[in-house]
Amino acid sequence: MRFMKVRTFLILLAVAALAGSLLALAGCGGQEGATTKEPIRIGVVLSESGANEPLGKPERNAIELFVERLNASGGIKGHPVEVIIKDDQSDSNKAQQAVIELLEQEDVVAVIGSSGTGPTLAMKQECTKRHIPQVCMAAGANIMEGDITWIFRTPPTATEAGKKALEYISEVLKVQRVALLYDTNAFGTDGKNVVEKEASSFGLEVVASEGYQTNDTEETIDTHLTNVMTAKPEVILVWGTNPGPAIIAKRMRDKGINIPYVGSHGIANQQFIQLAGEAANGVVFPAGKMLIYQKVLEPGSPEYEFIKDFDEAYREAYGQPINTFAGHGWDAILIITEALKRVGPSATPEELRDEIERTEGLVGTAGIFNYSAQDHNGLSPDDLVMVEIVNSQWEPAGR
Amino acid sequence: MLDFFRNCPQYLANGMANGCLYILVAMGFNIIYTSTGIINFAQGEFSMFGGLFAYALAVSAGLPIPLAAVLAVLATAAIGGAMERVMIYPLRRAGVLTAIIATIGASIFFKSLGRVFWPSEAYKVPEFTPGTFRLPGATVSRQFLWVVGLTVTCVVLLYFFFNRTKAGRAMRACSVNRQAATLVGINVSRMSLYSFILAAALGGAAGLISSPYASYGMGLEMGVKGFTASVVGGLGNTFGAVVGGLVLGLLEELIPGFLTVVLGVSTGYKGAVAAVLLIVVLLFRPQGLLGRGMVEKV
Repeated sequence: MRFMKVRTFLILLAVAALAGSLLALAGCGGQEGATTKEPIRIGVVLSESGANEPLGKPERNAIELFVERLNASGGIKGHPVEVIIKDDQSDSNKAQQAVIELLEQEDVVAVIGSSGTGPTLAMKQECTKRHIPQVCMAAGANIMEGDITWIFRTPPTATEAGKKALEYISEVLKVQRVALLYDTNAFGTDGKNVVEKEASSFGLEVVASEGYQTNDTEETIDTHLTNVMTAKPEVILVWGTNPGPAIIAKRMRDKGINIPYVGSHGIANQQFIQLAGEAANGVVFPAGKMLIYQKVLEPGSPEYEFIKDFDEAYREAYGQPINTFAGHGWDAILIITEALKRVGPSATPEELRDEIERTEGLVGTAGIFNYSAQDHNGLSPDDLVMVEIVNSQWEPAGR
Repeated sequence: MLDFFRNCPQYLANGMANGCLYILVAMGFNIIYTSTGIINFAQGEFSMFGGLFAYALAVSAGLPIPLAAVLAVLATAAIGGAMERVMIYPLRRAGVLTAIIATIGASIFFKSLGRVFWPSEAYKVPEFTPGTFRLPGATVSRQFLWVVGLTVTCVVLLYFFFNRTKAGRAMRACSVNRQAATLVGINVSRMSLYSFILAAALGGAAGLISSPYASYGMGLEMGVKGFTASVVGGLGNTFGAVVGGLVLGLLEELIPGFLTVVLGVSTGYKGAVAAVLLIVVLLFRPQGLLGRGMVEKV
């Protein structure tokens, strides 16, 4: 009897303890759902106005949407992510000022930015000095010159796109004599440097190379075309942003020049098709797979599903189709938050930087990111596809 | 060398087409300079407005192209007039240099305005008559004929305006001696207004006919080239602009063509031709090829 009493007492005690711990657990869970843990702060500097406005706006949209979705699903181990976004107005000085404010007043663990190469370089200087990891969305080659310890980037650069275009010329078109026409702005010059340096490794010869200016008239550009045609090229490679490539396409058609036209990722937009009209048909250019992901990726593959998810979420939130720049923003915040998930929410900037550098096989919108100590670009030529304009639509080219 | 000569017809046609645009812009510089002594650095932006208005009216609003072109020129002329009344007229006692600096401000303002409403890299302005035709050794767009025709018409009309009409003669009188012109009863400030309206109309016409693409950034190049043409021809000499424009347009195509095709020097910096020509003319013939010796006034 006495024995039984003790046993009952012990059982009751155990049940009480179990209930207590369950209650405590439930309490914990409630706390986690509301993400009242200390937020992780990430600074963002973008060009929401000024010349790079068409880049900065979609980048901001993507970053905000990404963070909203992340926090709704519990943040990073219960810690919500907070982004503090500043506009640099496409101006290097303002970008520098903005990043200093973020680092000194907001106590951010990493920064994203900027949209253009100039402001990105200004930010790089500060981030390198203060040891804060920076993920940029600009493609200028000179960003990765000098000390690259603290800077990473998301868009493909002239190196990947140039190699992809040269590979297409040599392996699919199977011709050798390349005439290069490039815009003398930063975008075109980066492409020219890559093409002239890499052509020989693809067995190609650049037989003529001419630079034009962004605002040149149709006649002026025609003269450049006339000049390069005297070298009897077998393909014309055009490296520039609108409208120059559209004028060249139109002029080639007008003059009855029937050799293939290969462009750069600078014309991976609807505007080129609008500007060049009929003459756009037959033009081939390298672009991220996202541009025509339904046509080049297998449904069910991780890349396809990732882009589809992004596409649907972005459309639903903003009522607009996704574009490359929104993708660059999405990838930038993805890379930082994935590294934070691995290293833990209380990581120092140094630990976070090391973890970003260890990013491997991370599926993003622009391709699969692999960073290493030597390579902070992350992408490879295989992340791009060659796209052909057929009846004013984008289709996979060759192959 | 043979290749170069074979390309020459194309170079000449391209140079002519660009030259005509430079003529229109340069005449705008000259008209304002002769009647006010001001070098209007916003002249290139008038071309930007011409091109962007033509796009807005013809493509966005769907008007027929001839109507859109006329309205775009009128709208640009109105902007020129407004600029004179709002900015230049209040500065009439402040000296020419102040007004010149103010035009730099206007240029920045106009460009920003263009960017606010037309932010993309380029807009396609429809051609008056699409298509091309082939000449021996050259392919020329049909638009080329419109460019040449419009330029010749403008030059002839301006000739009659300055020599046969009262307003034109009064404007010339202002350029000779403003004080004397006032004394004989010419309303100098009204002449200044007319000159801005006329210059804006010419610039606007150049902008909408120039190339099938207009953008907010096109003003700088148009302005620099037009200014060079007007200095080469003789600043203030309205018809010196014709010579200056053609010389600049042709040299700009022939020199890089020769360098590339014959000497094999690849030159992406054609803009240097205008700069070198400007420096050479200013060093050796500052009054311009057909100069009037007006440059000392600056």
